[in-house]
Amino acid sequence: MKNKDNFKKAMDNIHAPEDLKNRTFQKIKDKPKNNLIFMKVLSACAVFAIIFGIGAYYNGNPDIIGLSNNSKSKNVADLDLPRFENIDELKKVLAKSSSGYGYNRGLVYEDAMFESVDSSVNSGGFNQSLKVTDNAGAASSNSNYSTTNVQVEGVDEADIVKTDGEYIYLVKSNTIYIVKASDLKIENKLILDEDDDDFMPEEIFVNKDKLVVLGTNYIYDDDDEDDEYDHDYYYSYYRYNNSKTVTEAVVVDISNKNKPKEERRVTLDGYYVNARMIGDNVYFISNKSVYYYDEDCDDDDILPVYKDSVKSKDVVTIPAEDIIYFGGTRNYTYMLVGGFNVNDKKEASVETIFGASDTVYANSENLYIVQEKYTSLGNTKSVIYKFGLNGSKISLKAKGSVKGYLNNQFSMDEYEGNLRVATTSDVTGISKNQVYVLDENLEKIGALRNMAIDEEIYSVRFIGKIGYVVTYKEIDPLFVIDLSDPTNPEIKGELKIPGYSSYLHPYDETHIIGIGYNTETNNWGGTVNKNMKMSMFDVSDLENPKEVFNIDIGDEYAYSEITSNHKALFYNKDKNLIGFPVTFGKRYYDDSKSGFVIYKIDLDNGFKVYGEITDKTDYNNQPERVIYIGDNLYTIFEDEIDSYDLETLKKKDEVVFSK
Amino acid sequence: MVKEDEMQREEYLKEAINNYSDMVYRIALTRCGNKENAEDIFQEVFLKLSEKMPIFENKEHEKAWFIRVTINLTKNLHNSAWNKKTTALEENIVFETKEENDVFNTVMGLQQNYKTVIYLFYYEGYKVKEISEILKTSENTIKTWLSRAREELKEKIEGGFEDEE
Repeated sequence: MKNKDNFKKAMDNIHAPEDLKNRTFQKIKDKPKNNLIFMKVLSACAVFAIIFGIGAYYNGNPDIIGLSNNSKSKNVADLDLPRFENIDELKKVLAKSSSGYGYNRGLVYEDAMFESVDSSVNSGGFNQSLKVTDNAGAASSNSNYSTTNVQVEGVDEADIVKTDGEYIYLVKSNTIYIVKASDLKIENKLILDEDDDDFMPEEIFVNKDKLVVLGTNYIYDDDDEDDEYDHDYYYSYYRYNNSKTVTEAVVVDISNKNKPKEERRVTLDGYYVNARMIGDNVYFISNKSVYYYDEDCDDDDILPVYKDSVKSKDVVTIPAEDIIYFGGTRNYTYMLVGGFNVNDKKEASVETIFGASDTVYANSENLYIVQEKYTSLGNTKSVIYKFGLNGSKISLKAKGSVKGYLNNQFSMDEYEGNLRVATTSDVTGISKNQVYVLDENLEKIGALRNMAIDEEIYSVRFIGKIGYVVTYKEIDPLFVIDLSDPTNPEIKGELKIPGYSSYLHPYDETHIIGIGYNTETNNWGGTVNKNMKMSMFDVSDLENPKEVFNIDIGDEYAYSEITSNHKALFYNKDKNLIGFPVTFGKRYYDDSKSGFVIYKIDLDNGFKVYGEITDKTDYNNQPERVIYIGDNLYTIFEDEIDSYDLETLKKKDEVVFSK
Repeated sequence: MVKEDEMQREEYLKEAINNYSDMVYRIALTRCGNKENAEDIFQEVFLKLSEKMPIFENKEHEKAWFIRVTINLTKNLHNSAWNKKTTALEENIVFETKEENDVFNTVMGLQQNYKTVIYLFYYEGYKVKEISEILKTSENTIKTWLSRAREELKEKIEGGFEDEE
């Protein structure tokens, strides 16, 4: 009997106790109004009301209520930004967050004061003067090689594969491969561990001679280095528990591919969330969970750290007084945002907020980070932090919030200084969708509410004055929203077709491509995916959007990363080609085939299959990206790269990475 | 599904408890390491379901929701003071064979992320890509967790979890 079979048998023997099931059912069967969790929250609110009450009434601004008056200023630049008074205040807040909430523990909840006043209050902008320089337009769509499919032109997004037209750089496990595109020769392999740690690259940027690797590192606190290797200790939970997870941006000079040289390492506490590169400036974000035991805990255990190798060799603890805190949040997480220039040695700019980050959107001037919060009434709201980007310097400019949660980064877009946000909210079990327009201080100036009741947003794309929103329950309405008057967004047109698009890609001024699924109703009245499909929408008449043609892709088991990650898109505007990785075949069976599909776009004749390279049957060698460089096409799998002639699709070369 | 309808709501919740209770409990137990916290997490997961009554595209989507919520809810637990009042798992779960006992306890000894992927991969039968979607973590990270978990298991228990048939 194999260990894994014994594991299965052991697991099979574990069942939820019947009385636990019964107790749970009794608790949840009534609507949330009457059940226990609500009572708990209510009593919690009462406590908070007492503590915060006075402040709230005098302050008049419920979003900046804290345990103490937070309006102190540290220096001129930080005027008006509320921060912790000292470590004791931080500890008090953490203690509040971790006590007395029973079932709510661990979730990012907000105290009810917020909501009872207005579910979408804004604290507005801060009086900081910040010069904004426009450095957009760096990436050119006319280059003769693929660039990562990004949301905003000129704002690069990190990915697992990048090319500079000559080399292909890719992340595989703990290694970055540098592969020469012309002959698929592995030029070099980079492992960026330092000493004893375990650096895991997640995504990369390429900036001329610089490779920027974003990854996670685990720093272990092994104090006795001279000790003999102790196997039990090495793999112990104790050791893991005392390790620190950090996010690192490593700048590597790759001017000589045979001798890549690490130049710099910027470290932020916590897990990697997201990154952007604008010109030579890299911005990256991490989330750090706070481990709070009791008031006797070490300050070092609850404060986040950072490090910039140009400044120091050791990590620096960020003092409580530097952490931005808006009060009223029960929370366990810090969000750290770092910015630096890949070509200079100026110390990285780091800002820390008491809160977590979920969704990130950036244009060339501003970086928006959204945190999802559960309010006491069981609703979700999205708190938006707006950072101004000025070279490598980042500074918080405004904070606001809207009802509901975001589908993904495409749910946000800034246009003429206003942020448009599309959200789905679900208060009573019936979901609703809305589009808000917020001004530069994140004050709400316009809203379109109650769109597509009982449906959920599946994809969004804002293009200039127009917003396109796909909602879905059984059929896919594509809404065309006119945002030319930001104070009065309105639905112009609507198109209902079966299925849904989970990614919208602008094709030209009057056409949008949607990629998603066809769906059908099953015997039980539910809807299930029928097959993947790609559609071309004509939006030249805003009031009458039309699906001009579409193509079915595979069957119900077809899957493509493009449905959840826009970076998986292959797009060649010159040759009118669009493509993505796919896996066909049944799950749990080994007869799946995977690879890539590429279609020729022809507005008169529809999508035509240009190439289907789907002959891989090894489930452990999944397709990742397909890119082009000049006249060559490269299909990149987990364990290999194959090159083809872009015109004839004749295979030219391949390289297999050893496992 | 019309959620206003009390009866339908109750029916749905009952069905959800029946369908997912074992899985939720197994994940909670694997991650908490003790029954007391696992039971609390279990209740919290279904409370969250009843609060949110999310609309699922299909069964897979529904199942993924339960996995993700259970894991998220256990994330902060091991830092809490709660853990002090719990009993060790070995005291109240006994399996039929020593082999089962050994392998279960070995897996339980792995760190959170490792044992979670071991559970999802070997017990639930998910592929790396699917786990990465469920956990909203890059595939690369999942692969690493899985291979390190396997390495560790190989060190700790004869034969490890090798894939060769």
